[in-house]
Parts: sequence; structure tokens; C-alpha cells
Amino acid sequence: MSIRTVHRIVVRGSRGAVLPLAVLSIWALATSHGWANREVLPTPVTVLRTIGNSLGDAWFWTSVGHSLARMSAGFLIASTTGLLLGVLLGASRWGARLGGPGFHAFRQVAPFAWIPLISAWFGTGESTKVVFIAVAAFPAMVINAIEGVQAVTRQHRELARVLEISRWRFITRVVVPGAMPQIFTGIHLTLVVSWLATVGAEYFLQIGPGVASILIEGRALVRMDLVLFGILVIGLVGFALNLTVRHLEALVLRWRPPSTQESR
Amino acid sequence: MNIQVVPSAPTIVAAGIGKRFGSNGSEVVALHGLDVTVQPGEFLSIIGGSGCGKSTFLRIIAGLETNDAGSVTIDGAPVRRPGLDRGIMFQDCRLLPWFTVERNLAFALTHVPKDEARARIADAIRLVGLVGFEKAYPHQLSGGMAQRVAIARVLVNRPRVLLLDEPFGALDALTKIQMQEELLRIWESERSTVILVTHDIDEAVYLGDRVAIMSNRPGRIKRFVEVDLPRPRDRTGAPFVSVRKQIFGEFFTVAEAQVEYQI
Repeated sequence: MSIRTVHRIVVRGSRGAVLPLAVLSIWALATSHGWANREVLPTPVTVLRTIGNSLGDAWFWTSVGHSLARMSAGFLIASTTGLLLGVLLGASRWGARLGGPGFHAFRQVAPFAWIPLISAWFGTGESTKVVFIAVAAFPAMVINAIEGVQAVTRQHRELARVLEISRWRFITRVVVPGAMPQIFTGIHLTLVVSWLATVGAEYFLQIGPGVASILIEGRALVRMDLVLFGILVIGLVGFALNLTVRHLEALVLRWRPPSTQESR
Repeated sequence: MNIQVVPSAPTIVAAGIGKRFGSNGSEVVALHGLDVTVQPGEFLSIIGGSGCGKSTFLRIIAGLETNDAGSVTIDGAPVRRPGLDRGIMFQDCRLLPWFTVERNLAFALTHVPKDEARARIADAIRLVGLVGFEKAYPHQLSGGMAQRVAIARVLVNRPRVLLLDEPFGALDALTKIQMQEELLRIWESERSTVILVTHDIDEAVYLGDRVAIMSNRPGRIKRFVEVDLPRPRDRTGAPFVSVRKQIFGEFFTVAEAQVEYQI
């Protein structure tokens, strides 16, 4: 790592840390001066102690593991089916005519409304949660895939005709790569929704170990430090997922001119 | 340089070409009664102002548009759809941004076995002077370099016909001149039938064996001007300038020097 890279990381890191540090200071001041009820807003130190205790607790790590596993399953189902459906709806006129209205109707239904039906069909086990996550996250992928596929330009279409490119090659070598930026937006969004739906499913369905159980316990025992800790964990996992996708995107989309790439 | 000579270049005959755009009463007649015969191995420059239909005509020959009247034949066979026998260069070079230079060229060679394709790609890259840039992405290339890749892509299939739609329009004046020289150098070893569409009079005269002057609305060929000059041509020499002047006069009124007589 060159000295420039280290410098860049330190500068960017410090810039990103300004707001959290400010929030932290205000929080510490608020609790030490008694501006807020200790029951409702614990001190930073209390929360830190909770963090310390939990990190050593194996139960915490298995909960996180369970949540991530659930989310990954739901996400994979949502993204692969979403991509396939999106490419179909975007690329073929008949596909859009047959599948379009149905999909758009489906999409209008709030994800949580599906829970009774899904639990009736899949029981009270893991599959219910995974299916719910997939159902919630799936539209995001479809819509972005459709837009990505439809973004293929007339210029590229003409190029393919002039070079006598087969229909299959046209889809795999022109349409899909051209749709990749939009597909990555879809992946991003699908991941965000998957994580949201995971926490939501755990919280509302209340079965099995998971990250949301920290929130549930905190609420039951009226321990706000646990609740805050739960929020922190959820936020950090979301942040880490986001970072992973951004790195992947930069790798796959390295053909893009620098001005359109996100600055990191 | 090892590009093999193309199989014999064909004759292109366009007779009575007509093309309309629009419908429901508001129609634009882009082309009407356009006739031209391009001889085998001839380099024809078509010059005209914006909107005269010259690009439309080229696209009809390429098979990207269909004519409403008349016929286009290549060695007698009517043109129905686009094909690899007619290489076309666009003004926007249309490289696929997600492919490297190499893969962009390979994309044009999907009907050719892999080894042959690799050899042709290497030859073409050498021919256009881009050795060392095989793995570059289009966004890393300058305008001139990107157009060179476009030239290479057109050549790898050794087309009998070359259709150039204002290929250097997006380049700066100096690069443009360089690219014109490149094109000429390549064409002189290939000798395919070429139709170049341009709005640059100098370019038309420098490159073409003949210049077809197109009129606006409806688009048809007003006049042919022979450029009977040996290549390489001197852009600043008197013969060149006199041909240029004939064409210039079709578009602009030439101010004649007034001579005053005194007795």
C-alpha cells in the first residue's frame, strides 16, 4: 500500500467520521447532563459495555449468522428470478404483453400483506421467512433489469445487424453487458430490500434466532441499550453489504469511463 | 502488411431511389429519383449539406433502411438486409464500451474460426497502427484511435463494399487529415468499392475518384465531378483547388475579383 493510498483512506475515513462523532458527542452530553431520561436513552458507555458483552457471546454471532444466511437465500432467489423475468419482460414484446400486467399488479401489493398467505403455504419454519424476503426484494431486480435491457440503443442494434450477429449473441454480448450498470443498481436495491425484509420478517414472525431478536429482547426487558445495539448491528451489516456490492460493481464495470463511476 | 486483396469489388447500381419519412399527411420526401452507378473498385464521394438525404441513401445501400421506390443492386443482386459483405463505418464509431479493442474486433468475426479470427485481428491492429492497445477499453482511447479501431473492425471481414457515413466528422481537423491518409493507404491495397458520405469538400475531393453533389429536398444527385488527379494528391496545388472550386461553386456563390479597367 503506497503512502498515497494510506493518506487517501485516512482523509476519507476522517471525513466520514465527522458526523458520527458529532452525534456521539451530543449523545454523551445529553446523557451526562440528564437532558433525557436514562431509561429511554442510555449512556454511550452503557451501550459500549453491551457491545463488549455481546461480541464475546457466541449466541450473538450465531444470530448474525442465521440472519445473513436467511437474507442470502432470499436475495439469491429474488435476484436470479428477478433477472430472468426482467430480461424476458424487457427484451421480448410478447413477454411484456403476457407477463407485464401480472407483474405490475403483483408489485403493488405491500410485501407484508403476503405474510398470512406465505405462512399458510410454507408453515412456521425458515422457508416462510426466506420466501417473504424473496417476494419483497424481487420487484426491485425485475424493474431494474427491464430498464437495463430496454436501454440497448438503436445504434447498437444496427451494429449487430450489420455484423450479422445471432440473436443469442446479441442478447448475451450486447444487451446484457449494456444493461449491467442498471442491473447492478437492481442488485444493490435488491440487497437493501432483502436485508430490510430479513429484519422485518424476524421481528414480525418472531421465530428462530436472528439479529432482530436483539431488538425483541431489548424491547421486552425495556433495555434501550440492547435496542440501540441491535440498531447498530443492523446498520453495520447493511453498510458492509453495500460496500461489498460497490467493490464488485467496480470490478465488473471497469469498462466504464471514470466520470460515471462512483467516487469511493 | 498482410491483408489479402478482397475478392473482386462489385458494381453498385442505384436506380430511381425514392424514400419518404413520416406518415398521416406530414411527410418528408428525403430522396427522389436518385440514380448513380458506382464502378468496381471506385471511390465515390457524396457531398451535400445537412438533411439532403446522403446518409439515408447510404443506409439504404447498407440495408438499414428500405427504399420506397427504385432499386439498389450490388453486382446485380438486390439489397434486402444488412450484411457482412458491406462494411459500414458510422460517424460515432460505435465500439462496444464493455469490450477491449481486441474483443471489439473479435465481435465482428463471429462467423470465422477462432485461429483465423486471431490472425486477422492481429493483422488489422497492425494495419491501423494500434499495436499495444489490444487490451484497452474504448473509454481509454482518443477519438482518432477509436475511429481507427472502427476502421479495423470494418476491414477484418474484407468487405467488397465499404460504406463510410461521415466517419471523420467527429474528429479535429488535424486528426481528420491523418485518418484520411490512413484510409487511402488501406484502400489502395484493398481496392473495394467505396462510397463516402461527407459534408467536407476537401475530404470529398482528396479521397474520391468522383464526387457526386447532392441537392436538398428532394435528395438526388445534381452533378458528378470527376477528380482526375493522381494520388497522392496535393491539397494546396492548383489542379486540386480548381476541382474544389467547381464543387464549392455548387453550394456557395464565389465572389469574383472585380477588375477595373483604365484607359
